[in-house]
Amino acid sequence: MTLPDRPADEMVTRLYDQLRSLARAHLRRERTGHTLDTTGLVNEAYLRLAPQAGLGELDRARFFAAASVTMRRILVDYARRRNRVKRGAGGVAVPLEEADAMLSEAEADEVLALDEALDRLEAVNPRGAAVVHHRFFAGLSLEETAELLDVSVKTVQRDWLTARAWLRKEVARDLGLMSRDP
Amino acid sequence: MDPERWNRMSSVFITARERPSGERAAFLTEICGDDQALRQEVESMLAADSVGSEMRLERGILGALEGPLSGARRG
Repeated sequence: MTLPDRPADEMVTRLYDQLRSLARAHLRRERTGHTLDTTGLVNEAYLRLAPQAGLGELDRARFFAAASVTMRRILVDYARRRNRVKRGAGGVAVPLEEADAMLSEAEADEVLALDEALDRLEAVNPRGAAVVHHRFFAGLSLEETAELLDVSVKTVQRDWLTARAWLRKEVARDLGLMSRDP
Repeated sequence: MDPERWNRMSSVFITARERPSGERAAFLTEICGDDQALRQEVESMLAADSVGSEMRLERGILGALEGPLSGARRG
């Protein structure tokens, strides 16, 4: 993903550990239903990490850019484990029980299809991909996303509508979702 | 798909989306001309946009982002 300023690997590593830790804590507390969402996790991580770092404007942009990318990676790791798919070298070993609790089989399929579609999107529309990361994985509003990416709200709105429609279409086609039971 | 094609597709999609649904077919015929691939792509995107999401992810773990422009946290 094209980020406003490339985050240090150290921030991503720290974020990965923090977000996974928060996810595990949520999964332990909530035994039934899906109350877990990526927005909640990213916001909780921000509340924990921001006071320590005293994040200014640029750092806030870098935080949400890095957090949204990291959240995507975590979901992909869970999805691969959930589907027992062989990982390439460098994949993270997530415990199976944790992956099962985080994602249903259907959701795992969707995560992997979405991940691949996002790669394709990044290749032709990096800013749109950045908007999707901020909205889907960090739950930011159009206004917040515009502020962090330093573009107009109208630009973000157009990017979002186009990218979201395209991703839905791609994922549905790849998974044959149209014929799936609700 | 290349960036130029994406920009064209995006422009057509956004404009078609703003037209009343009854006028879209004629609009697409005029804009897309012989480019059936473009037309089909935009039509499938318009369908995905209007129906709402088929993805469980959008109704669950990705947070409450249903609706045309909704954000999980309103600024």
